[in-house]
Parts: sequence; C-alpha cells; structure tokens
Amino acid sequence: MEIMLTVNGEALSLAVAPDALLIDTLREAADLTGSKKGCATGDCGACTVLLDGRPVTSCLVLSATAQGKDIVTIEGLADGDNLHPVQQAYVDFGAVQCGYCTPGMIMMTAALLDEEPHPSNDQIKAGLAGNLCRCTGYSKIIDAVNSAALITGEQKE
Amino acid sequence: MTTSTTKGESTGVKERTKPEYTIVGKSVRRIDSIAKVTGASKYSTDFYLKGMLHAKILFSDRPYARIVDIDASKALALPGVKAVVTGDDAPDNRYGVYLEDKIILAKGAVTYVGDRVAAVAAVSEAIAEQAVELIEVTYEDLEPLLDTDAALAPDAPELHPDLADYDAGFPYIRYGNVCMEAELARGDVDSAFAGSDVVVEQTYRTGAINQAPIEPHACVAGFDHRGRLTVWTATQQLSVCHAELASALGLSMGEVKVVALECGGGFGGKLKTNLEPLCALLAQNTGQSVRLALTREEEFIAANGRAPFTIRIKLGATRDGKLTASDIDIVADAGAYADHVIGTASHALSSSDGVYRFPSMKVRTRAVYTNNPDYGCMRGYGTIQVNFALEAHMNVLARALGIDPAELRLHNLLEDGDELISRSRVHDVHIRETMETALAQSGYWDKAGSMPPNQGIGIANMVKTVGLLSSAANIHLNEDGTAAITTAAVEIGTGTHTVLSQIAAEVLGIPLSEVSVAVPDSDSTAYDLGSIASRTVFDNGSAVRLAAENLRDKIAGCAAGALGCEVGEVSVSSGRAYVTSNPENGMTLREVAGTSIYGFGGPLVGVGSWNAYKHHDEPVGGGFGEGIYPTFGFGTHVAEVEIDPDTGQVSVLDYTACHDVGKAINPMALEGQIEGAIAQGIGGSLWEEMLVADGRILNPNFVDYRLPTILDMPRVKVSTVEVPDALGPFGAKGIGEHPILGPGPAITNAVSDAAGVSINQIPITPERLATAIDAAAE
Amino acid sequence: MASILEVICPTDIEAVLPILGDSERNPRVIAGGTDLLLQYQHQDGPDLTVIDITGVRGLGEIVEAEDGLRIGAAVCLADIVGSETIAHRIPVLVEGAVVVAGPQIRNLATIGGNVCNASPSADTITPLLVLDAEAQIRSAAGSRVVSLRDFFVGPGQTVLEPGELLESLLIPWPAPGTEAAYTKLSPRRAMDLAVVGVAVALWQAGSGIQTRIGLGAVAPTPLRATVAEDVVNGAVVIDLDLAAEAGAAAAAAVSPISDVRGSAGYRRTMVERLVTRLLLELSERVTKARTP
Repeated sequence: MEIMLTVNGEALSLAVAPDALLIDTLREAADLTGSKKGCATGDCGACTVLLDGRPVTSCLVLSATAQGKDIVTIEGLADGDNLHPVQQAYVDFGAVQCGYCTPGMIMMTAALLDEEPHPSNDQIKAGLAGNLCRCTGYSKIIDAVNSAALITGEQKE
Repeated sequence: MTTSTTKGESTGVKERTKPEYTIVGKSVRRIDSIAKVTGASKYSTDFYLKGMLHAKILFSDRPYARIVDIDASKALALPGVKAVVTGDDAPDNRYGVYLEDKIILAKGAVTYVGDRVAAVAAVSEAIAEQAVELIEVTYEDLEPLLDTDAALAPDAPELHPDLADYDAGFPYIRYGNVCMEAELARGDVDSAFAGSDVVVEQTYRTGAINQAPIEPHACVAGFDHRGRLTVWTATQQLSVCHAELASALGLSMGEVKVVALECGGGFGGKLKTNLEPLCALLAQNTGQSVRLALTREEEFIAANGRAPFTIRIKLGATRDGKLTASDIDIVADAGAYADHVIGTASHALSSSDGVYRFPSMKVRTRAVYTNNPDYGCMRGYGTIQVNFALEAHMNVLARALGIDPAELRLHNLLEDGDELISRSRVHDVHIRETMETALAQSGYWDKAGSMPPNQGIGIANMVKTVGLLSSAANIHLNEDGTAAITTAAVEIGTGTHTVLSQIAAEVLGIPLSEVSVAVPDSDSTAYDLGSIASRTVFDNGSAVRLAAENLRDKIAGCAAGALGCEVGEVSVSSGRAYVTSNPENGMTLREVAGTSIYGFGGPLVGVGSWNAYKHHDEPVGGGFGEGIYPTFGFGTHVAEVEIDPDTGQVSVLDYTACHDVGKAINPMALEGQIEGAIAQGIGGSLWEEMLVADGRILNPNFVDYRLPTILDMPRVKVSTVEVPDALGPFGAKGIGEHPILGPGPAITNAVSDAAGVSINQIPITPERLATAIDAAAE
Repeated sequence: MASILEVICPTDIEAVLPILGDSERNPRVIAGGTDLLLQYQHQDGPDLTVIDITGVRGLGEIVEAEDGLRIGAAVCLADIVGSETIAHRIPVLVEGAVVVAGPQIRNLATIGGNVCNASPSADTITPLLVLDAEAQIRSAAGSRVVSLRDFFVGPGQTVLEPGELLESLLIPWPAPGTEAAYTKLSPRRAMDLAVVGVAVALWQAGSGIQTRIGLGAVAPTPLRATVAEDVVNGAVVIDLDLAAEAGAAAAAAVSPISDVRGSAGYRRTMVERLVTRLLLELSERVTKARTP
C-alpha cells in the first residue's frame, strides 16, 4: 500500500507492506538509518521518533497507521549545520559513548524539554526511563539535559 | 608523591591540563560525537549493499542431540530463497581462541540450545525467516549435562571426545569435560589455617550475564571491486576477527578482508568472530553479498555471555587482623564450547590475590564443558567473579574477627614490588590512596556501624591488569601537513580514537583537528589485539605514541635537511619544525610534507610497534598459561543501600568510586568509562541474570533480562588518583574494566550490612534477599 | 505465522462494527499496538485485517458525567497520566497508568488495549477493579455493560465475543473521603512487568470502613480479593491484627504460578505483606483526613 506522511518536514509517499513497522520503513524505504532498532519490542527506546509531536517507540507502530502524520527523526533535528541545543549538549558533556542509544535518547530529550522546559532531575529521569543506555551509566546524559534545558528553556520564553 | 584529584558531581567539560601538556589531560570533545548525535554514523546494522541477500540462522532448540537428518527441500523450494547451508557445506577444520574446538555449523550433533544447525540466504529477511521454519530436522535426543557438577561426575559422557587433539595456544591441562585446569600455590595453606585464629569458608555464585550492547550483532559479507571476499562488521578485535575468519574458512589471510564499521557497544560480546564465518560461507556459496543480523532474542541465544562461576573460598587470619591463607576453588561453566571461558577461568586464578598479601595461597581453577549456552566473556574477564567472592568473604572474615571491614583491608594491602600468585610483580601500587580517598569521600568512618535501620554501607577493593600482547600504528603526514593515523585499534564507544588522536597531536605539536584516524580495515593495518582487556589507552596509545615520535623524528630529519642544520638542533611543535635556538628559522608541517614528497627523502611515515607483555622464562607450573602483565590499576568503591526487608527490594542510595589511573588523557571520557562500568556492575549485582533451565535461556528479552534504567542508577561520585605509571603513554594506565569489579561486592557487603544476613550469590534479586531474611528470622 | 493483510483506519464507530463482525476477514482491533504487534506473529492462524481505532470519533475522550468518569477505550495512558480530572478525582488510576513501561509506550498504549489484552499483571486493571469500573461494549447488534469484575475469564481472555468492541470504561465517582493506592512490585523502577500488583481503596461509610482489594499477577486473571475485603468491611478501625488477617486471607485466595519473574511462594508472601501494608497506610490517610 502507499502511504503519505511528512518526515522531517518533507512530504513523502512510500510503498509499505500492511505489516511494515515504522522503524523499518524509516530506515529502509526512507533511507533514514539514524533511528536504531535495539530490541523491536519497545523495551529499549533506541527507535524513538516524534509522531505528531509525541515521542514513541517506532518499532511498535504500524507504518500504515502513520498515514497523514508528521514524523521527526534524529536526522531532522539539526538546523542545517547548526546542531539542536540538545545535540550540542550531548557532544559537550560526554553523553555519547558508543552512540547507539543516542538518537532515541536525544529525540526523547527534545520532546521532554518541549513539554517541560525546566525539568528537575527527577523529571529528567522519569522522562528518559524508557531509554536504555549500556555505556554511560546515565550521569553525563543528565548533565547534558540540564545544560540543554538552560538554552531551550530560554528559547521558550 | 601522590596527587589526588577529587571529582565531585560531573558538571561538564573540565579543563585539567598539567602545565606541560597541550591536549593530553584535556576533556576534548570526542571526534565521533557529532556523527553520532546527528544519526550520520553507520553501524554494522546500517550497512547495506545493493542487491544483497538476507540470512537467518536455524538454531538448535535442544541442548544435546544427534542430528539424524536435515531436510531443507521445502525451504529451498520457497521462492526467493537462494541457498541453505548446513554442516555438510562448512569446512571440517576447527578454530577458536585459546582452544580450537569450534566449527561454523554443527556437524552430526548439537550440543547446546543455540547451536547453529543451518542458515538460509534469501532475497528478504521475511522470506529467510519463513524458510528457516520450513527446514525439518530429525534429532535423536541425548541426555544433556546441565550443570558443572553433572559434567564433572566420573561417569559423565565426554562432550568433546577429541578434546586432547584440539590445537591450542598453550598446553592446557584437559581431561573429561574439563577443557582447562590450572593450579597455583604459595606457602603451606594447611599449616597456615591450622595456625589461624579465625577460618571462614563459603561458596559464592555469580550469574550468567549478557553483554547486551544496544546494537545487536550484524555483518555483511560480499566481494570488493577485485572480487575478493570482504566482511563488514562491528568488532572489538579487527585483527583477531580477520585471522579467525580466514582460519575458519580455510583461507589465507590475504584472501579475505575485514572492514570495521561503527560499533554500538561490545563489552566482550564482539570479540574474535561470531556471525562472520557463517555469513562469509553464505556469500561464498551464493556468490552474492549477504547480510546476517541477529534479533534481540537471538542475541541472548546466540551470544557468548559471561559464564556463571562457582567459587569456594576459605580465608584465614590471626586475631590481630593479619591474613594468613586463602584456599580458593573456581569452577566456570564453559557451556558447549570453550570460547573465552578458558581465559576467564585462568584470569580468575591469576586475580585471586585481590589487593592483599596472603602469605599462603592455594588456588585451583577449572573451565568445564556442559550443554549450557556457549558462554564466553564480558568486561571484567574472570577477575569480576573471583573479586566478588574474595571481597564479600573479606567482610565475612572481618565480622568473624570483630574488626571493621575497611580496617581489615587497610591492614593487609599489597605494596610495590610484591609478587602475586601469578608471578607478576605489582608496581605503582596506589590501593592505599584509593581506599583513603573513597573512605573519606563516602563518609564511611562516620557511617559504618551506625546506618539507619534497613540501610547499609559496604566497601570493595579491586585490581586489574593493564596491558596485553601487542599493537601497532602508522602515522603519515598528508601533503597539507595534517597527520593521518592508521591502526587496527577499533572505536567501540569508549573514546579510543579520540584518545589516540590526542596522543598523536600532543607528540606532533598540532591541533586535534589536524589529526585523523582511519576507519580500520585489515588490509591497511598491522596486528592489534583489540579494544579489550582495558588495554586501548595503554597498548594502542603506546603504539600511537611510538609512531608519532617516529614521525616527529622524521619530520625533524627532513626539516634539518631543508634548513641546513643538524637534526638534533630541530624542534617540532606548534605545527612547525624549526631551529630550536632560532625559532623564526623554520617551516610549517605543510612545507615539510611538500619537501619530503617533492624534494627529497620521500613521504614521511611514522611506525610504532608495541608489546609490553612478557611470557615467563620458565613455565610457572600447574597448567598456568598467563605471562607477566605490564601494570596494574587499583580501585576502591563504597556503596550505600536501602532495603525493604519485606519485599527484598534494594535501592542504591549512594556510590563512591576512586580509581588509580596513572594519567587521565581525556578526563571526561575516563569518567564516562567509570560511570558506565559501574552501571553494568550494579546491573549484575541486583537485576541482571540469564536464567537457564534445561539448557534454555528463559528470559531472552529486555523485559525479563533487566538492564538498569536511568531511574535505577544512583549518582556516582568519581575521583581519581593520578600518579604517572612507569610505562603507559604520558603515564596512563587503563580503566575499561576496573570499575565493573566493584559493585558486586560493594553492594553485597552493603546489603549484608543492612539486612544482617550473609549473601553469597549475585544478582541479589528481591526474592533471594527476602528469602534469606525470612530464613534468618526463623 | 499470522500476517497482516490489510490495515483500516476508520473515523466512525459505525464503520468499525461491520468489519469487526465479518469473521471472514479475521478482524483484530489495534489501538496503541504495543501488545498486538508483539503477539500476532507468534500466533498461528489466518492473516488478519487490522482496524486502527485511534482515529475513531468519541473513543479518545475523557468525559465527566453525573454517575462517574467515562474514559474512551482509545485514550492513551499518557493522557490518563496527564489528566487533571483523573489526578484530582481518581488518582489511583494515575498510579496504575504511570508505571506501565516507559513514556514512549504510554504515548501509544491505550487503556482499552491494556484492559482487553487482559494480562493478569496489567497495571491499569488492578486499580480499575477497586474502582468498580464497568465496561461498555458495542457491536453491530447493540451494546451491553459488563462489570470489570466479570470481564476477565483467563490469561489474555475476556468476555468479548467476536464482533464486539470495548467502547469505553465507566468509573463511578468514588465515595467522598476514599483513599486508594496501587503498589507495583518489581525489581526495577521502570519498564518491568509487575511481579505482584496490589490496589486497595478504603473509605468510611455509615456502616463502618469499606474496602476493595485488587490483586494482579497472582492468578489467571486480575481479581478482587473479596474474602479479604469481608475481613475488613464494617470494621470501626483497622489495626495491625486486622490488616494482617486481611493480608493472610488475600494470600490464601490467590493461585500464583512460578515463572521467570518469581516463585509462587514469594508471590503469595508478597500479597500478604503488601495488602497488610496498604490497608494500614490508607487507613492512616483516612484517619488523618477526617481529623481537623
């Protein structure tokens, strides 16, 4: 079947099988390999994208149900060569080691800061509870989110 | 003199340069971060070749059976299926690390759930999956050996009847189902125990652990532009993968190439080969490129995780708190193949002193074949299991003596020059400093013995070797004066390539932005053991240092020729080569490169080759195959926990870690390694375990194999002791594994303190703790 | 191995029902998909026609009515967590919804899906049981109401017949002064399935204390521990002995299994301890609220 959706601001028409998962459609049909498939059961968060503004595990979304919706992946976060404040903070604070969880973690962070511009550490942790990282122990991720919040929080005002 | 750099909560990029270094010692941003935060990095799972086939594996669903027949006709008839391979299609030769006991596909029998019976290559993954379901295998079930006791029984069947004939790198003691046994001793433990005031004995168990990198295994095998077999994969060991791949296929190394893609985490799970030989076999069979990737469920079934160990330990001491003797017996469940369990069983033996002086010791280790999953190794490599037992038991001993556990430890620490049971001598020993720092930072002396109800505090020491076998690197000067490093050292996420770039930049006197690191491939690189064993900074860093110094010397030589002076009169720094006594008289590195290429001498290439590991002149005896390690890193952790005695749930309230690192080349990266290793250690202490019954992993998924989430992790207080090591680059030791050794015993000791019960098994699940508390109350 | 033949995304319930009633098409309802997409491939059987109900008018609404709160089946768990009305008037439902998996899953998963998936350990069901919720069921033939206490017949099995759709849940307004809580026993603080789930609601009636006790993951279905409730109902005060007696009664009434998440014995012991604990905690809250 053919679905029409917007991905990173671009209108796309994609041929998908009825049982195609959004993560696979994005990675293969749309050639956006930034979102990762860590478990395919919704338990690790590496596949997190924004679906109509909400962060979801795209391994548990049928592509057919994304018809007409707006999707943002990690590739759509930066503004040309200018990194999004969340991306820059992750780089600056050593919050990226192997990087495999990073796209999903960053998308979830961006969504969190959009919803909660000045989150407490408890709110940060609750917000990222669905994103597993095996490398960092999360400490520097929390630092990066706090730093990014200073910028995005200001931008919201 | 000891300098202690105390680090509080991490607050971002911190500059910690010593006056004499420009880039080394700075928390520079990693060179791979931008590609990773934008999604541009290509991992093994992101690599696609046009027209490639997709492969899936048929795994054995039973632990031990003879293969009577494999009927693949229905699979082959499915449209889109290009090939089905079984053991008949694979070479007969065995390959492997330590002991060559593996084959690419099972031949005649399956010996574990997860053994590879067949593989399908088809035009899509969905068709390959369907085809796997259509392969019909007739088995004749045999009685499996499901634990090491059964495998060690005198009448147990031999799972590897040809064990004595397998090639090995060392003449291991092997018999029955024991694929390796070693024994070391010092002094006379029997009389030492007899003369002790207190002797305590216990058996400890550690769980089977999955490395669980977020990136599952994947590789693509195909043919390069000359038709040569090429494999693209994520690996921790480029050179070893290459050698083993060639060996498995019966090829010379020049007939196959391996290219390392970005790696989404290794932790010991992406060593040597895993999928590569089978994937390459399918490429050879079909003549097309083939992608083979594992699902997360298959990651559990097909991986080589950390083996479960059973450790019986007996410690003795005199009333004044002096250790007298230790008697340790280690049994490692190797599963169906030896894999790295031989190495970890041996390393547990060689780590069994811990950080203490035991006048008398007797230690035995055995790696035992069973029909359990094909265990391998994970970060911590045998040291983690024995350190858990030793450090937990030191607290039991302290309690029996009526001495504070930290006091007991301080009373018995190793010192410079001491010889370990392995016959390596320790030097640059800073365990006393890490203990004092961690005890002070955690407030241990105020808290121990007066924690609130249901709270406890626990301490653990650790030591691990640094430096293993060899590495090489080349650095050449580009025409524009920038430097290019070529090395087989792979970046697995720890920051290796950034640290290597920092070392090169420091030696050459150029900015970090003017150093590049090549994507490693086996054609253009000489041997490197790999990103394993906490060795990348020490060994790869040393190889790069040597290569950079060699290049610097050549730059000076070329400049001397151009400037008309002696080479000894030339300095290389700040991007130039100049006459030391007259700095204005000099050239940029671009000019030097141009002179070498177009003028005289030829292109400038620095070469570095390094091996600080030595073999013993005389065999140490007792079947022990390890050599003399270059150096050792020490550390101390303190954990504070709160328990719910009714449910057995444990919360880690606070965690303090101090590590002896020699020199932090990139402090932020080093801190990240400590924090991440501790998270993995906490996972294995409280929540993570592959539950195996009848040879089957019962929880092959992320719901029931529980990695720590951000909500579960405490904030970790990290500090370091930085006294330059004698051998490491800029004095650096290593850090990759050291911090993972602490949480098992630190948390065990804290929980034991909180609950008032002794704990002898990790992970300490809520049910195990509640059961122990209830049992003690009766 | 079942596959998906067709995905339909209707906007009107009248378009859903005929397809749902057409057994030839092997219809399955999908809302968040977080259970269905994990399960359907492991099921043998014919290929499915999947009906996405998340766009159906009316199914995604939370409506305050006179008799209670009506929650559409397609309301996602994140919206339950974020609802001021629910936080204010039925907070125990938030306690259940907020511990399901993680934030991404909660943006997809729906309360209707959680209920119809009928896992014995489902975190919204145990609170819904102590809230005495009712299921509003629609089909082409009409509609019916089933108390949630009667909705579950086995692990993963409900009373829904082919052609029937869970349209909404009605939660009667709790009695004034009701205190309720849900405890999910799990090793980690997120992403786990409950090893044991306990929900308790407590209030003062004219006839004495009234309670409802819901238990999850300890029987083939989530259930109300009515024998334990009988121990407490009508009491003037809940002291340690009474709470312990009720806990023991609850533990005797369950039939847990041993599986990878826990042994039957541990689960039984946890039921006893957590029911006792919650009864005492809530009783204290009720007392505090009444004391000026």
